Amino acid sequence: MSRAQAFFRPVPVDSPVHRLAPETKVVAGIVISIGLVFNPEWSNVLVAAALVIAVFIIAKLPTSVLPSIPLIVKFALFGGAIGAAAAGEEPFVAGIGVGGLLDYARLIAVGIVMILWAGILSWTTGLTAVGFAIRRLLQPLGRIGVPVDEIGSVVALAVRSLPLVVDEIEVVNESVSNRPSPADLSDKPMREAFSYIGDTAAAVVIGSHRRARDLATAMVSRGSNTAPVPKRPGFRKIDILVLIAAFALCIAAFWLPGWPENTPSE
Amino acid sequence: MTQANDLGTSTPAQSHSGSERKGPLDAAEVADAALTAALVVALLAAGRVLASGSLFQVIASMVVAVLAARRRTRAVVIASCAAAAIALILGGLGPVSQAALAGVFGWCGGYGLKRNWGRIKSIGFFLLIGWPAMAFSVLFFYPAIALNGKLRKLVFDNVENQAKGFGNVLGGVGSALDTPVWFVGQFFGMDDFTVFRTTADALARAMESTAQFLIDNWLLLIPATEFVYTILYAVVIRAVGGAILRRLGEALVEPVGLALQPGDNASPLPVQLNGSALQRNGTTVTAPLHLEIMPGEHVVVEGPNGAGKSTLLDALAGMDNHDAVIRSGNVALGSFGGTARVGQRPEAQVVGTTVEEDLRWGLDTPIDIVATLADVGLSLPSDRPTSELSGGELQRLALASALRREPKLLLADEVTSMLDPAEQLRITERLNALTTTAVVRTTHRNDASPNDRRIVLPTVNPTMPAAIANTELRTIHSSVSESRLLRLRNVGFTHNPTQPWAHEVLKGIDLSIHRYEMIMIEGRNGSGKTTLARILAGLAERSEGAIDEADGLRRALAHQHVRLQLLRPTVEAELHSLAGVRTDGSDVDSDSGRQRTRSENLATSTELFELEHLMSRRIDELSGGEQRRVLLAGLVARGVSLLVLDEPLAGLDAGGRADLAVTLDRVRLAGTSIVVVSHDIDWAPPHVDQRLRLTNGKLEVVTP
Repeated sequence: MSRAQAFFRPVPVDSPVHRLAPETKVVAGIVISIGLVFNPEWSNVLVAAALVIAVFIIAKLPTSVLPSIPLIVKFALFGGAIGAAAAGEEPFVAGIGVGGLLDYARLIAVGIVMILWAGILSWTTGLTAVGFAIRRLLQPLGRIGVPVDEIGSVVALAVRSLPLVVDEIEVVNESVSNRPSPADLSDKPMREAFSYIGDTAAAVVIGSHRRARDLATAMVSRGSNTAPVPKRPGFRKIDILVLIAAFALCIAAFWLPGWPENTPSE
Repeated sequence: MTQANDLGTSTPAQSHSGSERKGPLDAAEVADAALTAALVVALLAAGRVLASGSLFQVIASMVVAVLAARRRTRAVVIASCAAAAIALILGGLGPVSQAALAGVFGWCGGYGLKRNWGRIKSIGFFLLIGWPAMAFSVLFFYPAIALNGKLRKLVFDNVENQAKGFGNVLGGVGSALDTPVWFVGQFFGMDDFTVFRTTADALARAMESTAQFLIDNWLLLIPATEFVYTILYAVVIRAVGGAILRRLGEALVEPVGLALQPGDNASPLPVQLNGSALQRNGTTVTAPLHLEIMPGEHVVVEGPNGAGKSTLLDALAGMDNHDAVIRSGNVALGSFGGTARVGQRPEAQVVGTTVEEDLRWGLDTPIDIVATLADVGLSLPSDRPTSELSGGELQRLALASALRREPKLLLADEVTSMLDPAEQLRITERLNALTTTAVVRTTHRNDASPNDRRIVLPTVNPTMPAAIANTELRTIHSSVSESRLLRLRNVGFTHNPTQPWAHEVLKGIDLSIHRYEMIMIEGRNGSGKTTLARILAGLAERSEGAIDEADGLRRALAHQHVRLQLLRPTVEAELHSLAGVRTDGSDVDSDSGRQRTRSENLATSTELFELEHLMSRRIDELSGGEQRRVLLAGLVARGVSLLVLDEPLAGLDAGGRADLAVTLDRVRLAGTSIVVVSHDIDWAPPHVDQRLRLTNGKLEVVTP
């Protein structure tokens, strides 16, 4: 079993969220994110955060799916919080200005909510199902002349190749990190390091182009370079309801007011 | 084997003098676009995980530039759209803008590379096309900020707060420091006690005004920054992308007929070979062949590695336009009732993401999935991702798809190599039972039936290295000593132990590896053998148990795809890099205690692996076996005393295996112990000291 398969892998439980059509999850996630990005007020952030946590629980996802945060990102987040806290903006709580901290928390919360939406999609939907969903969502664009069959075939083959490509990148990366540093091997360390980056990229590119040639040969052997159009998904009532709710939330999000004290005048 | 210096295979876009082809993408373009899209998505994801986005962004742009230099603009646009769509789903709006950026910059770079533009012209083109695209419209992020006052305000408020906050901190630190300064100053009669406070205040003011300047002039500053970035991208993509293209040209030497063939009026038989040798890129690949294949006939092609068996099958499939092949009708490769071809490596035969999609690919008629699978002894859910199938399942899936086409001519290249003996027999019988289909298959198993016509192809280019003298090996064999290199005690491994998809891969593994020893570990797909290989090579940590290691033990893993582990352009540079020897011949780290220097080691190992005559050759011109010899020679010279080989047998026939066996003997002559991990339960290298089998995570001894 490939190491890369842990990278877009549904949690093996059954839940209403798992059973939704992948299109529903994709569209609902995007629509709600748009509402959040265009009106990142506290009220809206809290509604979106509550929603994402509710969906997380309904999907029966354990908290252990959450990835660990790299140390450098932790430091950056902590440093940012210190800077924001020291700004001393209104409002004051016990004599300390927490306005900066609140603004900071709001910005980070927007980012986390967006990442969580993508995460929930990946933990409840297989990569292949997502590939099919992308292609079905692209289908209507065919009416305005977009070459949807070609894009669809490329998406399908890209999705199929993704785990292999990730594995190959890992192998090359391991090979690089297990060698003596290239800068030590030459009198022109900078130049050597640069050409080393090129060599590394070349190894990855050559590997993927070999796969591309295999794929082309396989397609010629099947007599077609067009992926079969995926079957319509099983849309159920619940999918329609979720989509209506998502659009309603998005529209409502544009009118939700912020708290006055959080929007200090210029 | 063959060497040619063109940039690839059937690339119509390559010569820009002629008019570019119009219309939909062909098979080669679709495949290149798909792998490029996958690579872009994977690189952007890696950049995110490793928190070094900009480096990976540059590499992703170079990957697109390589596509743009070799293929039509249409392929670049479609690849970028596909990458953006996948990125949107996987990562949201940020990755979409990155994918779009890689698309635009890659296209700009490829456009210049294709035309061999100089630096100034390339930069100019980037500034003309790439810069405005980056600064204004293509990137989703900037319009989102420009049009969206509220998000902009939130971001800018935060920038302001940070500046003000750190200013306040600085001011506080300054004031605090001034107290001791005042105290010390008393002794030296200083008047100004506020040196720290004033400096800190000035710094804080500077920070705040810089932030304010950035915020006030964002509409101007973002494009200005991007201007600089654009020039950097132009320079790097031109230099590095050009180098990658040249190496790609060296690597992709075998031409394969990648054009789809018309499916109407299928009549692939009879077909004749007119008695001349088959050639590829001007190099003779097979001996002269006289052959005629009639409808319903069964032919088994045998012969050593390099005799051109696969070339013969591809020629019969009409994939290269060989003059030697004479037929009157239409070969109709892949069409119903035409010619069906199943190639050698199982993972290279599959096109669909799921079992069902793979079977439906290229067939217009509805098909009964269960019955089609049962025909080759498979029972799989139709929505099973093909990435989860084992090699044997993939081989049978490809064969099912070929049989479903009810071909007049079936070409099968080593299609049972990954199957159990029982499954093999079943498939061979299934093929023998075909009466209206002519079957041409290659095999290394001697399983031709009495009714088959046998053709034995002789070797054309013998490249076999000399075998090691038996006496030398006997010396090694008897010196497998008590000195233990590595010992695993009750080792277990669980994937993702804290996560919901945790599963136990290895349990209770006990294993000792001694100096000079060669151990073979066999196991089916999913038996945990790759994980065990990684643990033995020190690349993965065990979850439980203990590992004792001899002092100064160096371990390394040789992967199945050797080329991925070779980085430098030439054999000599690669050996130096692997072994850690400087270009002037001195060692990187002259670690004490070693009796010999690495450059001496390298010289010995170059001689041992018979690489002297290859030193100036380019890595990508070498055969697979030669590339493996380079890798192993380099690792041995570095002082690796335990070498783990993961699946070295994949895709090798009898000749290739003999070659591998000789190479492994050389490794042992150099004093390095070997662990071979393989799915193949039929073949072990001669001179192996211990054969073990891994079943469901447990290790047991195989009694010969």
